Order: sequence, then C-alpha cells, then structure tokens
Amino acid sequence: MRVFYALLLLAGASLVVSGQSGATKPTKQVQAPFTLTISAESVVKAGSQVALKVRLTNTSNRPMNTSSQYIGGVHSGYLYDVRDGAGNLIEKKAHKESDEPIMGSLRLGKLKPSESRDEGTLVSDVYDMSRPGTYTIQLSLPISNDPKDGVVKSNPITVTVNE
Amino acid sequence: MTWARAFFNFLFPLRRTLLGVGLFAGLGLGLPQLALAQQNLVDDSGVINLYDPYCLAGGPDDGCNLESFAVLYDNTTPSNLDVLNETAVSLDSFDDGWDAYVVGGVYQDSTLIATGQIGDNGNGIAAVGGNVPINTTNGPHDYSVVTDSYYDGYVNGGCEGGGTCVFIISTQVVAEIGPPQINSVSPLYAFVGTSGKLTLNGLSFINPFGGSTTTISASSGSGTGFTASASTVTATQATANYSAALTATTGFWNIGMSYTLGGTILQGVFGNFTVGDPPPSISSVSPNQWTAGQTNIAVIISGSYFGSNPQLTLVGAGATSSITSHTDTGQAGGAQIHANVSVPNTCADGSVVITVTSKGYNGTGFTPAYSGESSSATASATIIPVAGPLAPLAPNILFNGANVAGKTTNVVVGQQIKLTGQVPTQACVSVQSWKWTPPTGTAIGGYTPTPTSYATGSVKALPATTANPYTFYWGYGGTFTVSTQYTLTNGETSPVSTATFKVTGPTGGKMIVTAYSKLTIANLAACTNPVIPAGPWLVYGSITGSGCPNGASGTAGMVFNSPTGYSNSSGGSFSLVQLISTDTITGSASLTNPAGLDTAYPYAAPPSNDTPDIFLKSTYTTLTRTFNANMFLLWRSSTANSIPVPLGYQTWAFTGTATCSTSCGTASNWKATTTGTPGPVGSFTASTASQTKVGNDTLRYGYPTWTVVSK
Repeated sequence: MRVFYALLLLAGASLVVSGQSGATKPTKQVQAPFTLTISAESVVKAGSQVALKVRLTNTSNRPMNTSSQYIGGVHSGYLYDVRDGAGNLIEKKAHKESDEPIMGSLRLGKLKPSESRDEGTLVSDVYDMSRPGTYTIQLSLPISNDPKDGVVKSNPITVTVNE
Repeated sequence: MTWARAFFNFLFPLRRTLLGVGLFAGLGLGLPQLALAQQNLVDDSGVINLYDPYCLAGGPDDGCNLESFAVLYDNTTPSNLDVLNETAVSLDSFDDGWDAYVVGGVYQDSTLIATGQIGDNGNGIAAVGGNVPINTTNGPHDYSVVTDSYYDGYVNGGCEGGGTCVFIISTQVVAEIGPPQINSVSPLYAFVGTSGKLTLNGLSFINPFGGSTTTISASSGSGTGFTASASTVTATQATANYSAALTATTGFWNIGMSYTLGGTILQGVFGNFTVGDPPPSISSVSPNQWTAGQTNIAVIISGSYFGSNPQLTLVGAGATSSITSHTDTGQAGGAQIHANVSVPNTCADGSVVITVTSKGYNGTGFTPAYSGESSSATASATIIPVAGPLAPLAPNILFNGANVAGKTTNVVVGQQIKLTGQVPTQACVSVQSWKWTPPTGTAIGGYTPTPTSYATGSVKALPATTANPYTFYWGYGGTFTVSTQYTLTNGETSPVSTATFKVTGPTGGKMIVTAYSKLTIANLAACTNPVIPAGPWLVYGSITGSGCPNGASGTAGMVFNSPTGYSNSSGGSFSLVQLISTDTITGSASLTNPAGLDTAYPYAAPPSNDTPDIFLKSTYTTLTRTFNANMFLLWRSSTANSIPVPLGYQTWAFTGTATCSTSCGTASNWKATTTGTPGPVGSFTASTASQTKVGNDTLRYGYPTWTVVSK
C-alpha cells in the first residue's frame, strides 16, 4: 500500500511537474453563452420614467432557458449598475415595509441558438433617477444559478436627466 | 453843528471836492461833483422841503431842505467800486438847529460788504465814499449803493451824541458789474445755408455806465462759415444776427459776448450752440411705378437738403439703382437726384422703399443739429407685375421622390406616408400656403409608445392640413385618396391634385391561446440575487423552481402562440401589447391595480406567455385575486419609420383564492381554489377602427392606449 501510494504520489507530482515544465499553456477563451444589449432614451425630463429596452441573444449552440419574473414593472432577473455623473453607485430606492402584496408575472421562455428576445424594464422604479444629471446604466445577467459561473454584462449607456 | 468822525470799512471820509453849501442851480443842494461828461449812476432824492415841522416859522427863510445822493462812479472797474453816499442840507437848516448826517452801505447780491456814517462837515454836507474792492472773476454780481440821509439835531448831540436824529430818506443805485453771463441761446442750433436771429438771455450784457459797446461773435477753433453779430442788447437780453454758409464748419460753436468796463475787457461765452446739416426730405419720385423686368428706368427724386453727395438705396422687389446726377441748392425744395433704376426680376411684385441719405455739405459727413435728427428720408414706388392671373398648374404630390398625383400607389398598413406638395415649374409663381384634404380611410398622425418611452400610449392626430410635407399612417387596409392644392401670394388657387393609395396588410389570421386550467400554490425557492422571497405563491399556472433568472419551469397560465393564417405578413413582424383591465386583491391584503399597460412595451413577442403570481406572506390566511387582461396582437412593416398596427386582441381572465389555517409560511399549508374557468374570454377579436373600449381599457381606432403602467 505504501509503495502504491508513493507511486500515485509520484504520478501526481509528475503531472504537477509536467504541468510546470516548459512554456505556459495558452488560456482557453470561454465565450459567453448570450449577449445583453440595452438602449434607452438618451435625454429624459426629470420625474419621467427611465425605461430600458433589453435584447437578450442566445449565442451558444444550445437552447437557453430564459424564465424571468417581473415584480412591480421591473424585470427582477437583471442585476443593475446605475451610477451618477461622478461615477458613484446609486442606491436602490428605500423599500418600504408595507402590507401590499408582492405581485409578479412569471414569463417562461426558451431561446434557440442565435435567437433574440426583447424585453423592457423600468430602471427608474428601482433607482432614484429624479435629479437632473447624467447617469450611466449597465445590466448584467447571471450565466447560471451558480454564482461561480459569473455574469454577462451589457453595454453601458448614458442617460441625461434634464430639469 | 457837529463833526463826526467817519467810521467806515473800506470807505473813508469824502475825498472829493464838494461844492459849497447852497443850491447849485438846477442841480439841487451840495450836489457831488459830477462831470457833466461822466456816466455816473446817481440816485438823487431831489430837494426835500422839511419846513414843517422841523423849522421855525417867521423871519427871512430860504427853506429847510435836505437832499440825499447815492452815487456809483463810472470809473468803477471789475475789481473796484467807486461810490459816494451823501446828505446835503440848506443853510436855513442850520438856523433851526439841523445839519446833515449820512449812513452809507454797499451791498453785493444783498450782502453788506462796506458801510460808513459821518456827520456834517460844517458846510451842510455829510458824505462818505471811495473805493470798494470787489471780485467779479467768477461772474457778475449785483451791487447796491444805499444812502440813508438824516436831519441831525446838533444842538442836543444829534445822531452821534444820542440827541435828535431824524431819518429823512434813502437813496440807492444798483448796477450789475462783471463779465457777461449767457444763460441761454434760442434757438440752440442753426442749419447750414441759413441766416436768422438768435436771442440770448443772461446777466451783465452791458457796461452799466455806458461808454462801451457790447459785441457778439461766433467761434469754433479753426471753423469757418458761421458768423454772429449783436443786434440789440440790454442788461439781460440780447439779439444777434447769424449767418451759416452752406459749407460752414458743422458741430459745436461758441457764442461770445464782450464789452469794456474801467479799461478791462469783460467776456462771456456760450459753448453749447450747434451748426448742423438740415434733415433731408423727399417731395416726389417720378415715375413712382416701375414695371417688373424693366431696366434703366430714368427716375427723378425731388426734395430738400439731400446734401452735396447723397446716397440712394432701394429695398424691395430686387430693385437696384445708380445715381447719374444730383443737385442741391441748400434751399427748401432745391434738391434733386437723377438715377437709373432696374427691376430685373420679371416676377417682381409689391413695392420698393426708396431712401435718400444726406452726407452733409462740407465733406465731413452729416452732422445733426439736434438729438434725434435723421439724416435720411424715405419714399416708395410700386412694382407693376408682368401679367395678371398666372393660372397656376395642378401640384405634384411627391412620395419617396416620385410624383404620385393621379396615380395609384401600393403601400402597407403602418407605413409612413410622407407626401410633399410640389409646384410644377412655372414663371412668377410664389406660393403662400398649402391645403391638404385629410386622407380617406383610418389615417392617424402616429402611435406614441416606443420600447424606451412608454409611460403613456396614445394615437397622434393628423397634422394640420396646411403642413407640407404632410405625414400620416393608415392603420387598416383599403383603397384611399389624399388631395392637395396651393394658393399663390396673389390669391390665385391651383387645381386640386389627388393621389390614390392601395393599402394592404396582414389579414385572415388570428392568435390562438393556450390556457392552464386552474390556479395553484407554487413553493418557489429563494433567490438572493435578485431578492425574491421563497415560499408559497398563488400562481395561475403550475410552476416549480425559483424566481431566480432562468430558475423557473413548468406550465404557464396563458400561452400566446404565434399568429397563424395571416396573409401579407411577410414584410414585417408581430408584437404583443397587454393591457390590464381588472386586477384586484382581497382578503388578508387589499389592492386594486389600475387599468393600464402591463409592465412594459412591447410585451415579449409571440410565442409568449404570462403566469401572474402573488406571494403568500406568512401573515396571510386568505387571498383572492380577480384578474382580467387584454393581449393585443400588432404588426409592423419593415418599411422605414413605420408604426405598428393592431390586428386583434384576446381577453383572458381568472379568479382564485388561496387559504391557509395554520403555519402559513409553509406552502403545503396553503390551498388554491379556482372560480369558474380561467383563460380566454371569448375568442380572438379582430381589430377595427371603430373600437373604443374593451373592459376597462381604452382603444382609439382599435389601438391599445393607456395613461399608466400597471404593476
């Protein structure tokens, strides 16, 4: 057993050694399975809603589950990064504890490879964009339920809120 | 009699040789020595008879008389007054105990500057006088010499001794001494080429003693051509004759005045007088009607004061001019311009503004004589158009660069129809306005919502009928017409042109829906990013998994399948819009969602689905939901700038209740009950232009409209 264990150890080590000898192996590029593209009105009046058009495109070679939950007009599947003109993150609007029921609209869906789907979401319902100024918005969508798989980010856009 | 020592600030006892006591024939008592040739200023009271009550009766009596004198001698200078104050009494006055006493004073502008008093000199004369220094360098002053004459009762001390002292009379002479002060000149200006009279007002215009002539003159550095000379002069007013040559130096001139006093020349200047150019005026333009298209029309412009080098400008109808000759006598009506005028535009119409601008007469440019004076004059001429009515041609109607007037053009529903009225090539046509007849069929100005702006959704009205280009959209198929005509600036109206459009679009199809049979309780797993609560949800449909992105699966409540059976749909794409009609929650919580757009515009394109759900909080025990919505199917062509058009809608609804008796945070303790048959209400309804309402949702020409986003 000791010999066998030692041989195994040597094999693992050789593997480790062979792995460490010679030039660095090239890193394999992993293509995101989908893309996110967002757009919005570039200039809005203070107090107006800021709506995003989100185009989700399946860039993989497999069908993609695209179920999503709308809660209160906001697509809850996306992660929002909203910043002011100085680059500071805008905090979400304060959530008021109330007895109002939490109502949603589940949308089940699948995208075939290369298919796209357009959705809308009211980002101003989640983030306070009422003050005049410029805001930078970027969305991201988790690749899977496993946080280790990371997210796919959309293009950043700028929205100017005028008085 | 008593002798009184004089007490006098600037004066000292009489220094003149006086006549003896007694009458000086024809000149009164003790008259101060006055050379007959002198121009002294004298106030002589004349002989005053004081017999009663001052003199005793009886005996030879030549009368108790007194005479008072105030004198300002003519050798006064601008720096020294030569004055005399004297009282003279008769010899008989002495017999009765009276002699002379005088108090004298000199005033400058009512301020006492010198005074003195003295008694009789033994000859019936009391006099004080002499030089009083004055300063008139800063302007003239008013000087008064005042004499108070007294009968002095010398027996008991008289005026000086506290005895009898009787005031009899005062005399006074006044004179303005100093350089002339010109306060005003009227008028304040003179035009070149004129002559006239100026009136000057002020002070000290003359030598008060005479013997010197006041002169008036004009000067302006090295300026020439303007003269002024005195006509009449009094102490406070003068008139002067002036003459301004046509080419006189223009601008500010000084009006000066001077005379001699005591060997000194006194001068005053008024520096605010202007010699300026007269304003031009036009009396006639001949001819004043010019034919469009005609060139080198000989025109004569007559008037006054055009100057020695006038400028002529024309504005209007494209008219141009050039001066061939000009004259100006500098007199009223003496100006004339000969010019060649051209109106090269054969289509010209209206009138021309003619402006003559004077450059003055002396080559230095126009100088106004007064503020606000204009250097220009205007008149007008009328353009005679080439011909009368133009008979405008029927307009072209341009669509995508082609003339579609009188033709039938194929378009599709929702396509942007941008029509431009165009005037065919025709001479002398000037369009004032366009008028479109609104298209037949269901034509709208637009549909407002976009994927990035959908707070409200509405149908736009057609543009004003005077707009050109004229832009609209047809919402439904058919064969329709649109017409236009234009009006010229001369009032003529063109014939009407009409374009016909054959509008086609998707027809004959429908959207089939698939509905789940009941409401259920879903036990959804938690989602931390985003935060979606885990636990029981009342769901129309059957769902498992979580609310995380891509985390749910199952059967949706309503499935909106891809439209089928539509013809003529290949040149565009389908979309969906869902409006909430009713959504009320009762039970452990209450809520009524307003009718309006369901979450976003557009809805996910077909095939699509909807699974409304509501989280059952652990504090709830019962919740009932009544839901009704309308899903609209739209189509949008792939032509540029098109708008979607409604093809039809499907109403669907559900009502269900969730109940729990204990541990209501656990999904298994909830029970869902469905009321009636959830799913479609009626069949798919084709859209028509006459639809205005479905449930609580408002339609316009069949289009879904909203004012709120229902959440």
